[in-house]
Amino acid sequence: MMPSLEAPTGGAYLGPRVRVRGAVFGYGTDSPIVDDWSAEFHPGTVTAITGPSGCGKSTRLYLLGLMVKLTAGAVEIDGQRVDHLSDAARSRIRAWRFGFVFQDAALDPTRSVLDNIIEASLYRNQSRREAAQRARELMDRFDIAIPPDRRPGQISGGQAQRIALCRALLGEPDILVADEATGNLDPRSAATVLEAFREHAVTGGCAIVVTHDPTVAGWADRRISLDPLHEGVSA
Amino acid sequence: MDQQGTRTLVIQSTGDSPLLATQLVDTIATIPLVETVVGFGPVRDVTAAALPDGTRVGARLAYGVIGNVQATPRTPNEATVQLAWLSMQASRTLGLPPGAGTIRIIDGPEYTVAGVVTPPDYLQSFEPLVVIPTPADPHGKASLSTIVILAKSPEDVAFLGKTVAPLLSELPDENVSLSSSERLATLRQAIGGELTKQARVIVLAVLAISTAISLVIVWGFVLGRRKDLGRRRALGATRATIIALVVGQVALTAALASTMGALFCTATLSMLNTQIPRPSYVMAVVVGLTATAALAASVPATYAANRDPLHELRVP
Repeated sequence: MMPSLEAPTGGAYLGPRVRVRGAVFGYGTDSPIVDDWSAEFHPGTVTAITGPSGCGKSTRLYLLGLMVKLTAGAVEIDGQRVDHLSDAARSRIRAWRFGFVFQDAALDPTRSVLDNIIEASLYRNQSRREAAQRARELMDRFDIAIPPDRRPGQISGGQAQRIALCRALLGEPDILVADEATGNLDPRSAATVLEAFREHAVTGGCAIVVTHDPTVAGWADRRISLDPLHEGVSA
Repeated sequence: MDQQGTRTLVIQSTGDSPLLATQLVDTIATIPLVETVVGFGPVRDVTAAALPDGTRVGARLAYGVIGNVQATPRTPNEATVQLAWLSMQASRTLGLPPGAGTIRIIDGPEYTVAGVVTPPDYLQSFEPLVVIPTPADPHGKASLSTIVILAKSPEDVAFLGKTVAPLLSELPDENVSLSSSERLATLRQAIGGELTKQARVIVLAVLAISTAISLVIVWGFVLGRRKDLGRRRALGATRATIIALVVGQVALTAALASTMGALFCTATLSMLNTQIPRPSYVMAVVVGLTATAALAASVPATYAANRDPLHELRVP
């Protein structure tokens, strides 16, 4: 059965928002990058996935985001298996349930800031006017005081990442994932991004942050360490 | 070859007096394969009325349509007014201004020049052309010595000849001849077929080369946009959306480019006074090129849609 695109309301489901069980993933004949990985991500919490470079942190994030097909194992959202669904179904889940913040903002340099923010609304069949209205509200909320028609090449890195945050939050997702989202930011911009993640969790969302920054990891509610020396989950 | 009259049939009476009546022109004009038909009377010399000793030009009574001139009086009044139409060459030869002046048949009446007649290609051999519209012949009388028929297509000439021949059956064989451009038309068809074959090869070659070039360009375009496409996939775009995006952008660009190219070529051909291709042909070329570009784009678009977003987002 395909899971609902809408986040669950009321108290019907009390388990983890996202659960991965025995996930195996690798490219070609190489040994798997992710081998028999299991984890749970709950609503109302910020979870940090930490570990040294090359240990597969980002791969796990994209795996949770249904962007890659598992070799073995399963990914569940609200208790329903979703990793085996068709590409179109997984894409719809990404568009409706997930908000992504990438390491380098990943904005389209050929389009305006406003168009970048509302881009994902196209994949949700949301009206442009409604999306633009919500985008302006988010720009105010994150103190992005630049004209909406400005291009990404004309703004700072901190502003670009806050715009990427607006894009991720535009569809009011219940799962927010970030791949080293604060890695290249000044302390003030980094604090803004982290506060947004905290607020998302406080309002019942599930936030998952990949980081190698011990400060960010320490700030999270839960940590999943992929370091071979300190592997495990801590709260 | 068309200027040589590959679509014409000519009926001629060779006796001392004209044998062809205007009713024959009217009958032939009703045949669906006929584009136009005109009858001419015997040639009579004319000069400019003011220069009776000036240069002489042959004038013909005419019945039917000659290029821009309806050489058929439409009302009884028109028939009584003595009017003539001169080609530019005829006016120059007679020393008259274009479309104006007065001419006189040697030892005959005067005619006011009512305008300029532009002889079509198949009547070029009649230049310098002076036509005097003649009314329909009364019953039992014939005023025409030559009837020129223009078929709609060279392919129709042979059949048209067989259709017209019975209409001449009551006229004496020895004094009436029907000649057609059938051999020229056959030759034209053969050459046309060869040209069509060559054109087809050229069009196919152009489409094949366009496809290959489009493929390379779009592939480069896709590789240059790997991160953009990866981001779109991560944000929720389906594979079909990515394919539609890439193919749509390429098709739109190709449609605009080929439309502009077609307009430019048409304008250039027009300025060079060369025959312009039919609009349907131009449209077919535009659609063909657009479809070719879209088809070529679908391969790299599918490649782009199936790339792993995880990899693409890591492109620096």
